[in-house]
Amino acid sequence: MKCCYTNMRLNKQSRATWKMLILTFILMNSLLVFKMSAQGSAITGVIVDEKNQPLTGVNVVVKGKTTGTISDIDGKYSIIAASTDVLSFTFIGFKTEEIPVGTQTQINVTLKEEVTALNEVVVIGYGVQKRSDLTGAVSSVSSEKLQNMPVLGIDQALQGKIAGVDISSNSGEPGSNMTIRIRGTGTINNADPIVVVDGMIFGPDILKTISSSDIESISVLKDASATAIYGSRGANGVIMVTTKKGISGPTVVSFNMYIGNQEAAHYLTPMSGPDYARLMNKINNRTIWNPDTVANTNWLKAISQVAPIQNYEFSLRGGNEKSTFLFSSSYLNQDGILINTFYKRFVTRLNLDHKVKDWLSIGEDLQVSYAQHRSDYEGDPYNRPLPLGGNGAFNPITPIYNKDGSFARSVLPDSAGNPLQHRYLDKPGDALNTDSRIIGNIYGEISFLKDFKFKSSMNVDYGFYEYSKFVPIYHFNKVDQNPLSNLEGDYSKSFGWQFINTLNWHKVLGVHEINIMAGTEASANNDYNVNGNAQDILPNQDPSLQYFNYFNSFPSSIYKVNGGADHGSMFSILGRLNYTWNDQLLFTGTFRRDGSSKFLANNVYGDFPSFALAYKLSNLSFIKNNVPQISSLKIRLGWGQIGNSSSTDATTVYPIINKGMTYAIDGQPVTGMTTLAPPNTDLQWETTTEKSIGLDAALFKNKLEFTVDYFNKKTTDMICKVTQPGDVGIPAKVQPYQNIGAVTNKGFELSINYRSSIGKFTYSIGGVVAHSTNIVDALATPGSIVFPQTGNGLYGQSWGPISRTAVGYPIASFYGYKVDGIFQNWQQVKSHAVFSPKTAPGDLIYEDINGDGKIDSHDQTYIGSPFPKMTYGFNIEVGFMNFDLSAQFQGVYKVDILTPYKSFTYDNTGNKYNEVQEDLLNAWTPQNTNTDVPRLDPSLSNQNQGVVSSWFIEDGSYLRLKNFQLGYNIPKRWLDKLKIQKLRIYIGGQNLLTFTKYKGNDPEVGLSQPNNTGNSNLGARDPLIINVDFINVPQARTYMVGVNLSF
Amino acid sequence: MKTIIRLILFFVCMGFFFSSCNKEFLDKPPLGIQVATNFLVTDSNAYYATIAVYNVIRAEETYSESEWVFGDVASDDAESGGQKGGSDPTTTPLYLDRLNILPSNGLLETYWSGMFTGIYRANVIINYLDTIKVSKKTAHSCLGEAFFLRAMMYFDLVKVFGGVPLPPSTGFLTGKEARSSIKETYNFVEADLKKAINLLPAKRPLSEEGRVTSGAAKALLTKLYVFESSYAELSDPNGVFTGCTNRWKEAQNMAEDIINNKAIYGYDLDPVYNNLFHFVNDVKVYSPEYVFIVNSVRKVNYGFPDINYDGTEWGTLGGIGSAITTWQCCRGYYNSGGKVVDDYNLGYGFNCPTKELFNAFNHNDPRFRATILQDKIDSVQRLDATSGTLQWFKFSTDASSTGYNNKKYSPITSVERGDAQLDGTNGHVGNLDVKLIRYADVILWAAEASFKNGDVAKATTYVNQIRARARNSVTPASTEPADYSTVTIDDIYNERRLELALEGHRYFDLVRTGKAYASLNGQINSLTGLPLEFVQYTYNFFPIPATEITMTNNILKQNPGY
Repeated sequence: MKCCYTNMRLNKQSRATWKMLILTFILMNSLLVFKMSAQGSAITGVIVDEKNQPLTGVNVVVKGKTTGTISDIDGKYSIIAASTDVLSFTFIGFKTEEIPVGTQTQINVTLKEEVTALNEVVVIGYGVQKRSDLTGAVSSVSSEKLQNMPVLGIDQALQGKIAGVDISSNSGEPGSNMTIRIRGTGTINNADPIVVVDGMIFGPDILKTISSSDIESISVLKDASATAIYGSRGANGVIMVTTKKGISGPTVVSFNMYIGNQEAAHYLTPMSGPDYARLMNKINNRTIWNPDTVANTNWLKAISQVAPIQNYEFSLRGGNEKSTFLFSSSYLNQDGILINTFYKRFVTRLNLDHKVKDWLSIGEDLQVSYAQHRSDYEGDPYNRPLPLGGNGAFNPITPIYNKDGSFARSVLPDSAGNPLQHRYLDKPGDALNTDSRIIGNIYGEISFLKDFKFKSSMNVDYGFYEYSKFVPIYHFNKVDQNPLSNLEGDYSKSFGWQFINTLNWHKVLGVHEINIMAGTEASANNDYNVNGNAQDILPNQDPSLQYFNYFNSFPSSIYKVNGGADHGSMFSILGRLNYTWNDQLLFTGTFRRDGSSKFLANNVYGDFPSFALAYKLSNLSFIKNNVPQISSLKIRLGWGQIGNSSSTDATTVYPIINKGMTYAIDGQPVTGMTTLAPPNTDLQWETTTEKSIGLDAALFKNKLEFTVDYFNKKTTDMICKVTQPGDVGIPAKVQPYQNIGAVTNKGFELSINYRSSIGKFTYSIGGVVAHSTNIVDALATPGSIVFPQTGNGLYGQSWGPISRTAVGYPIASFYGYKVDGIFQNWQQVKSHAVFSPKTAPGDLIYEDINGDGKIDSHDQTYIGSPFPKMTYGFNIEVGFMNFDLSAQFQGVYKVDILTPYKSFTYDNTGNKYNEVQEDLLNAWTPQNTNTDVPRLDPSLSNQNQGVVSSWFIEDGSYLRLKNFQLGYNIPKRWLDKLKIQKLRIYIGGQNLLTFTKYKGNDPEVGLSQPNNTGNSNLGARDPLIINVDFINVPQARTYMVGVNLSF
Repeated sequence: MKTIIRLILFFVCMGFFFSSCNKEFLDKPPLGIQVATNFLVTDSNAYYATIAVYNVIRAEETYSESEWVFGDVASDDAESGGQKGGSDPTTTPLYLDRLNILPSNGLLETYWSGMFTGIYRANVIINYLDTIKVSKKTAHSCLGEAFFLRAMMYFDLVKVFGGVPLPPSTGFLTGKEARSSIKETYNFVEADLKKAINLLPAKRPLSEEGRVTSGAAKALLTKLYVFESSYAELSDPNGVFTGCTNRWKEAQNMAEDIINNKAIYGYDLDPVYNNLFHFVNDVKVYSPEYVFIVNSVRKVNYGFPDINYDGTEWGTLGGIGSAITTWQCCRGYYNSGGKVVDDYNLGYGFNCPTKELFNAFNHNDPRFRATILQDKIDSVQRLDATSGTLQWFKFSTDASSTGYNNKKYSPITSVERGDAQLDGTNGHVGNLDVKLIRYADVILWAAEASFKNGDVAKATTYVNQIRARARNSVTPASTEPADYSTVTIDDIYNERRLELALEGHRYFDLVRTGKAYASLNGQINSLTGLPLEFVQYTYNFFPIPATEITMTNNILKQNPGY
């Protein structure tokens, strides 16, 4: 007797590609048939669809028992059942059939298609809802769309998949964070969404710790009517992650793996050695280097590698009707494309559910993750990981190695040390981050009085993070040396918990359906961090000596200790009412009241309401009867108010005592301390009010589905630093924060999906497009400008603040001179306002904005926005016989990237090295006038590369083949003999193609300002330095092969 | 069913457990950070917060740079100087030097916000000090100091700007307060000073040297009476002095209270005039003549003065001193291997005495040598730290538009002609205290008030005390300045000018005595050779900074004429 069961629980993705699923899904998710003894006789049959095509992978189970099987490639099945049994035939995308066995020995079944996508259950805050009943803007992606991609976090896999969710990676280094923006950037402060994993609230960084194969589904709550249930934390959107649960039936053993190689998808082309020599000779008007004998080193390539990536996932999933379990373990090992960078992660998970009584069930989800990773000083303008500028700048005329095999020294004086030597100096054990994290929850659920359910859940999050770094003594040359060894250690611990209690009442009364949820949530978190630093410890590279030690505390050693601590708590009450009338009119109202320890006095509590109304037009009898092309049609309206409390911390809310204000008493210095600013205890969360309207439609028997949304999202009470009049007596540096600014994001989103089949050939095409605008409506005062907290004077140039945020412009706009081409002759120079008396033909023409006949700071203006006009993505999935193919594209249309790195790579003063080849060789000369590269001018008289201008702005549009997979399912008839349920092998790739005119390393820039320490525990990125290219490490192009196996 | 209900009740109770005690649950003060609301409850914190007020008065923005620019550079006693060639017109002192007084002048802006920063910090103590938890002695002293310092800063703001915004009776300025009149501001200052007099000790032990005493508060109150009485006598077409009355009697009484109670307050004239302005054996001497000064550390080399408000310190040594010597010490040039090196590590050479001041002195008056440093006549040397040898400096007209420098803030050990040694060995020269109120000042107020009250004989005695000290502070004693048999009011004013020259008083004294127009209008600037224009009445006060008027949306009204 065979029994079998598949794991269909929550929202299987839309009916998309059901035919393809025949070929793939079964193999990915179904189980090995274990032989079990049972009473009865063999029943056989063939399962077909309405077109009489055999259905493969249909679950056939004996109802109420644990026996089951699935249909084979020809739709045939065989199962042992007694005459009193009832057989249940279930298959995704089809209506379940239940047939009593009776006396039959052959039961042929025709399954009818179901409007599956709309019956799919979507996880919303504190509950689930049928997708067809959604009233808010909620997008969902099922796990199989996210599988088998060589990514660390699921956020990377989500790129281009959800309309209005803009995801870009900040760097191609392994473990680099992603910037996620849902429906625009709503604040000049922290605009990161929250991530809710199995009910517990985290920041986006949690995604890095979760193995994507453990994820059952992702849904994104986009509009306020959906996120208001998360109150003061919902303003930037919510990403709901649900992990897989056990399923009753025989234990399924799954094993997935892939291995691959990564390389830089694209590097800009540095100047070759001979070209560099020629250029230097030309600039200096004499022969300094012989182009025929100089070395020709491409340092970018020299410090890069073809980096292996490998991932192994193992899971056990099973259970019986009372208890189910999922156990999984995975190991990912990714090397970076820069030598000596890597990310290794081990995750294990145990999810258990147990039905104690008919009315009581309990369960837990537990995940332990451990990661070790090492990244560079990513993006630090002064410690470039790439030898293109700043202290790391290096010239192409120095060879990598001397003849004797030792590392070569620069042939130029005062240059940095050999970049490759640096890489090997930094051993993998240095600058090492070790992250350990335990997240989990236990819950109990009680059903009572027929319509009531009560659920209580306790969640915990425990994290421990270490960072250690040892810099030995080295002496590469006069400039690049470290005379004292240095040891740094950073230890952080975080502990958080949430206690959630919800009560549900669900009742159907005729045409009225009512669902009420009410609950409370208490939560607290504690963080602690200690950072130590010692210099001049034992000058030894032996790793066993790279620890703090009492005996190393020589008097000459310099020790420093720093650290911090934080704690917070919240108490909330929340509720939601869903009302449905006649399956046509849907109403949702939510309310949350948050009490937060972050705020003081009268502002401890905040209220966050939302309302949404939807109407299923397709359920009107008029449409039902007369327009059969419409499978479903729903219009949604929503309004809600939500908060963003992540923009504040203790130092913004509390009146802090500063110290260090010395004065001499009795001729000796005494340290004074006081509060420098009045208590700004009135500070509150930022409030976002969002109005949205949407339309969900499915046409032609659900073959074509689309969703259109329009939203208008206004953030008010945005927290800004307010400059006070002088008589208030607050020094400029400690001006208080106030809830005073406002930002509006509005836009459209469209997602569309079409699927069909021609015989055994199935295909589906889907796409998403989003357009939104961002504008600042108010700041502290109408004329005030908000600058980034970091990013002044890039590369040591006096560029000033790298972006500015002002009323009437997008957040973090670029500001500088407008360039109007290049002066072609002296006449032109003479007739135009110029920057300097030395301005000459070949220099950039700066526009005289105020028309005063000179070029000065008054002619600077807004020259670009870091937000794209449009983001989009599309995917194609094709299935034929046992083959499956999928391609996922992702793109950005019309976005400005500011490229400060060019001030180095185009610098032609002869001081800097490694210029971009094709462009600088094409510099303007009286003979070469058709170019956009200004003349070679070592004296920088026109500041062509020295001031921010539109010359530094490039269009960052791109289209990228994000993921490509070609899979083959080993036919079942071969596998059956091996007792294997499914075996799929595939080849694939990530970032295989990029279409862009952008000249830098990678048009995907994200939040650019680096955490310049390499210590992942320190330093969030500055939210006001967006799309500024400091030359981050580019995305890796990955080629991989993989196997999915289950038995 | 019962079990179920019980379980639910249990969970519901658990859930609401937090709501019942959430007052405490949601009260999570930040960790590792001292919060202001719970700060001024201990003696030590009260002391630290008081030090933080003092910290402001030694800032560049207040008494180390700005005050003397208004008081001396803008007057007929000094020119800006401080620039090589003295010709860079963008320096803010130079604008004032040329009586080019604009609301956009950056120095006015920094002075305005700097002084109010100090007032804010004094308000922190006045509003937050927990008089129950802090011991009585500490509370009294700290409150008294806060009242005094707030009063002093308000008084000096009035000197510069006229009436300014006052805080509500409790609490802080919010930027929405309009300007009060001079009289209203003076009433506020007077009330503060009377509180301070009651709270403060008359004398401090050595360990508290430099902190305010009730004597200092009385001296400042004297000054207030002198100013108010003077203002009351001025013609006032703009009506800015409305309400000011004759208070010469109170002025005299208050000054004589200090003079007649030496045992209580401990003030006396320093026998050696020049001791007030330099170091003795690398150590600064705290003179009994100091009624109230901006303190700096006693040691010569304590690094560059910290001028920042936010606690970050300049310089490697985390220096603490007034920046006044940095600004005013003569700029030196020395011969290094045949090359003349400009070493502004001495000082920037601002506040250069004018020829008029030079001529105002009898050159046998020891105060002349102590006040004016002359090019080619004085030369200075300094111990070079690396070589251990004395280095000879020249300073020349390159650093001074007039050829003179202010010797009072060029800390030179010897006043003898020729060889003088600069205190300090490297970096900027040693930090000198900024003299805000000297006992000589009190005596001269007593003289002025006595004279105004009709007691010319007493006034003469007071002025002669000052002149005698000057004569006798050199060995052998000088013959000049000789005693007066009887003084005129102009003699008293002139004595003030000579005794207190280049200490930041001149412009304000000219204004209050009604002599500003006569003394300043038509004065020839030595650099431009052009006569300056003093706008009658308008220039009695400097303009409110333009940015402040914009920032308060015109709640602050500009002074008449600007």
